[in-house]
Amino acid sequence: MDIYLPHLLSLKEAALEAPLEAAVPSAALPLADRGVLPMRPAHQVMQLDRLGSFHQFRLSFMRTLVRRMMAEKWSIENVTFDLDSGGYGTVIYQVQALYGRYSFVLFSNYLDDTLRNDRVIANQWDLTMALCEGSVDSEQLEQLRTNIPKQEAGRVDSRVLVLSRANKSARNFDYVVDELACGEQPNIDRIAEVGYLYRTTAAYGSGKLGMADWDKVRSVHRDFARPFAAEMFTCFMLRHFSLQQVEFLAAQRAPATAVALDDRIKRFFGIGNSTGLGMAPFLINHPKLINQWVEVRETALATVMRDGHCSAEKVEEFRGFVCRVRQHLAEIVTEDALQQASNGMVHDELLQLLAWLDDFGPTLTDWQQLSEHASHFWRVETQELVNSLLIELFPELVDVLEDQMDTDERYDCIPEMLVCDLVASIERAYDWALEFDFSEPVQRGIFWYRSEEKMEPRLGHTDIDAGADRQMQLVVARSVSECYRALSAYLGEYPDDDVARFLMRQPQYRGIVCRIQTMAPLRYGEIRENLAHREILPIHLLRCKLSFFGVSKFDPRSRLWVRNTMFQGAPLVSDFLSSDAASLVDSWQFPVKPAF
Amino acid sequence: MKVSKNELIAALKKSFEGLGFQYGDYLDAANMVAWAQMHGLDGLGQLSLALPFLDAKPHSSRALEPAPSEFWVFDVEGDSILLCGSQIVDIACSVARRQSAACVRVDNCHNRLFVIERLANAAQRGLATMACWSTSRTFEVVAFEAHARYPKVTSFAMDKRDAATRQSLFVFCGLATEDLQVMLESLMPDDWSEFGSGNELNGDFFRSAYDAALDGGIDMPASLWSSFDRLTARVLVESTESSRAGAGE
Repeated sequence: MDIYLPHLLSLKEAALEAPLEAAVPSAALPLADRGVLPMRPAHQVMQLDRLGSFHQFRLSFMRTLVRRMMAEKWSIENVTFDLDSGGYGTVIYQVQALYGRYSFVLFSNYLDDTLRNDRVIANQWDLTMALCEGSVDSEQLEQLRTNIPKQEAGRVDSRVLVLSRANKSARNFDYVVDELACGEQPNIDRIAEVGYLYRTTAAYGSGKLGMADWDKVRSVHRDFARPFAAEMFTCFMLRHFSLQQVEFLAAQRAPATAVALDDRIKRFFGIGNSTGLGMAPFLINHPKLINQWVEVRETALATVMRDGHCSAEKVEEFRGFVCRVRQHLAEIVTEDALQQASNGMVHDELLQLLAWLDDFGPTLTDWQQLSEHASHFWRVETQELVNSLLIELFPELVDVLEDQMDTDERYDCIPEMLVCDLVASIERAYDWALEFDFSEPVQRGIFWYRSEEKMEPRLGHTDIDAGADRQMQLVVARSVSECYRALSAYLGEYPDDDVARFLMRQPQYRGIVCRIQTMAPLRYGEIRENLAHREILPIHLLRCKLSFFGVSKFDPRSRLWVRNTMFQGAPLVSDFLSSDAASLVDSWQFPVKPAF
Repeated sequence: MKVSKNELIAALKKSFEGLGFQYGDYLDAANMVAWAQMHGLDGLGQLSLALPFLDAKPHSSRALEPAPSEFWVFDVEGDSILLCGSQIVDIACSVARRQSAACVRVDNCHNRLFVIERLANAAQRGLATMACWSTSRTFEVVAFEAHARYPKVTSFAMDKRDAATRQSLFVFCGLATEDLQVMLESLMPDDWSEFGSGNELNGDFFRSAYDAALDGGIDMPASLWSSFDRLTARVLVESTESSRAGAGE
């Protein structure tokens, strides 16, 4: 059997590497005086298994959304709550944000248990919903009622920003309603096993199915002008509805005995999410955006490393974070043996971290000492968890970056570039891609394709499955290698030619040449892995993107899809105006069971 | 039926891929059509007319060889500008960077309107760009200032010149708009001054068309959408029990 060895520096090699001193691209940063930061090198950060070890952090999209909603005191009110005794019907919320008014429209329909399916190929769901601009009149409501429950099979218009669907948690929903109807609160240990009442399986935006384009959202609807902010808000609203619905059902069933959920338990309910391969091509097809996200995260980390003071208070606060994460990890329930083992090892290494803080915390002069220790002795997942916590420690240094997650996505060819310069550019920025030997069967063991079934992305096995002739262009390393060989040969014949002349004669390389010319000057963005490798773990791609969303509690169901939890521990709508708002707004990272 | 810009570009990419366009070419072709549609130039109408021809022969991109001439001349043998537009404009840009101005003539080229997006792209990268071509009844001139987002498009009535056309397209790139104007006028027939001022579309027209399409969506004829589905089906892989496992279990 071929053993898959990711192209990752050994710990020893990593330790020998000096941090990359590089000027931060000015476009990425709001602060002109940030100067030179100790950014981590791309060959360390952009390894697939490291990206798959990223955790949520302060600038994850859910976190920034919650901060914005609470700072701006968004108002969210029911204008229609038309549910029958079974909880089925129509609900509309009116949302007043800082710059605009929106409507969140939700349809709750009966779904037989046997039809509940998390895959994209499903065609019925318990809940379907849409986030719309402005108010919704009766005509639009009927249009939505006709189309939203169909999801991909329906059509909407540019007044709709996001469309989503969700299925009930079979393990939690009825139990919670039963308990509330009996006047009891649900058992928190049971909620900790599955921290949600509904699980969403898709949130579509950015113009899909006739919805508003991202260009419109970011220019017209400034409240959602950050990447995926409208999608995250939709999931937040789903959570809000799910909590209202169980209370409503309990009251319907037993008006005399039913009780409302305790707010602390309410906050501990998030929204489940099930993510599959559909998310993976996004990371390959939007390298400039991924570059921007990683650049912001790394800038935050490097700023903390350079400017974050190691005061006794900060060390103590950090110790508190570590204890909380250990509890969080201990509370995660997953059937996946690898994830279980990983959580256990990180849990153990965090205990070592606490001991290290006992020894060195009082004399710590900068956080780089901790980072270097982590690089030497702990796993990649622990290292990245430590990094998330360090960023958490310094909101005053990093929160200013939260509006920097967007970028333009132009991919331009530079026709006047000399071929010799393009070759040099590949050797400098894509050296990692040239290391794969694609003549080895293992390096071309799988291919990515779109199924005729809802165009669902799938993996096929080369030489076994049909469809290799229609595969998606996701194997960047292979395309770069082929292009490099062609350029090298061309250079021998036409040493003074430029890219325009090369593409005039060999136009089949145009796509990859544009990508190389666009991406080579950027630090991050290209995932340094061969995505055609027989043993590739696509779940790392999913986890990377989900970490930027801000999810927690990864529960892999295979190497191709993962369940997770969104907004668990987050403030409630009713917290927005409460006197506790300041203490709740950022206290929900790595959620743990509430103490009673 | 209304579609969004993102949705249109995604559908166009897959459709051009289904037509045999290669990676890079199908991205560019999708952007060319979408630009024309979003900016009020009926890109989808033009594409509807072109699709039967595009679908009539295989469309892998091919090497271009310039014909001997005082400037660059290519005979693309009936290809659509959607397939060769990037190569043509790239050559014009690269020559302009070296020599301050360049002119490229393309013969036997169809769907020439779609070249505007390529010119816009080059203009965004700091070059002044122009193009002109004759149709059966008009003479079209497109001009971008360097860094301009929108062009000036002038359409001159020009009856009875169709017999002389070789389906040619002239592309000009340069560091200064004035140089391109001189090159353009040197190519004009003697009675150029009698063309009059022509019908002009300026930046306001293109900006308002784009904003309206972005805000309200794009009207999509059902028949064209069906054509997109048919073309897209060519790049999809049939679903089997085995293939379903390739996405989840």
